Amino acid sequence: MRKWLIWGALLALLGGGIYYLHSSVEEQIADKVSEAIGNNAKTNVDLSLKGIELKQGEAGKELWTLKATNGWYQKDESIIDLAEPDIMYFVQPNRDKVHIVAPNGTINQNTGVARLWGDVTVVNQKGTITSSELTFEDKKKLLIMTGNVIFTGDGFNGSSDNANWNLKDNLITATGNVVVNFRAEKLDDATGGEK
Amino acid sequence: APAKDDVKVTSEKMTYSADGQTVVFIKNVVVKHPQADIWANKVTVYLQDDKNAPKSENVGGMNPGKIERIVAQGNVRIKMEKGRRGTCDTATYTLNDELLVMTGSPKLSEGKNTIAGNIIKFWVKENRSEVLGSTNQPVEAIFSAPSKAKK
Repeated sequence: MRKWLIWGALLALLGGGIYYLHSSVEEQIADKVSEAIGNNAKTNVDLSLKGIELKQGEAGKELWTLKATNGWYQKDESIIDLAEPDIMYFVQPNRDKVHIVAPNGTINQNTGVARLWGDVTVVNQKGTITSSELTFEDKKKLLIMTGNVIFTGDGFNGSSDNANWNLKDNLITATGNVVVNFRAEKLDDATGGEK
Repeated sequence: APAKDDVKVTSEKMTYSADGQTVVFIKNVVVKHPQADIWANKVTVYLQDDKNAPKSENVGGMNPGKIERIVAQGNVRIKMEKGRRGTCDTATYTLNDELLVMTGSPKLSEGKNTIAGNIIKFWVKENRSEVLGSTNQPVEAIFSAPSKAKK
């Protein structure tokens, strides 16, 4: 009987040690993240995920995919905090790709809104838009970019205070101090080098 | 930094169809072009599709780059070289042939000389203009005679 008691105590000690190790490691990750994303992920984390990939489809087709190196799920607010979110959106019907990346992000599953910040970059085959912050409203299929918006297109570049990209009509609207520079090609390119 | 032939447009709002070839500027639009500054309520810039972007024949002339034409609408004011001024409702400037077509009570003046009519066509590089009249907007030209030398 005594032998069983000793074995039981040893096992309990071992289990407690592992549990302690696991939670302190998780806490360190959460510490680092909450510093980076500036909210108290540390206290609300229910689930810590590594290498996230989410997909959303519509009418049997893939609408967008989201990847992130790390994620922290806060069950009560159904929010996922993301490290290095990387979204690929497929604009229907031709499925032109729109690629969005940022150092930080968060998804609110209730409202279907993703918010990305730090230097956000949006790229499609015709150009690039960068901004300080981007909100992706899934239901409205709308990207809203705010803060120091800079865009480059085929033969032009420009800037504005804000911009939004309606992914349904594939229409980009810039507002506030809009400045666009239409680049004349270098004369050599245009005339094959003769002067 | 913007090159010599670049065209700069500023406004309060702009829309660009991500798969199309038009950029529309709205509200307090100013176009700074090497040969003319244009003010208007709305300006649409039509970009060339790469497939049909012609080589620029006019070596030494304006390099159109990607712009095919610029259409300015609403309270259009134009300021060109040599003190030339224009006003109209709509102005269409085609970059490749450097042709400005003004409609909607167009008026073009240079110093005290002014021309008006139904449609004014102005070839910027050749400095040549053509005025077309209509019944309710006949051609009208005012040339001021040089003042007589004082005796």
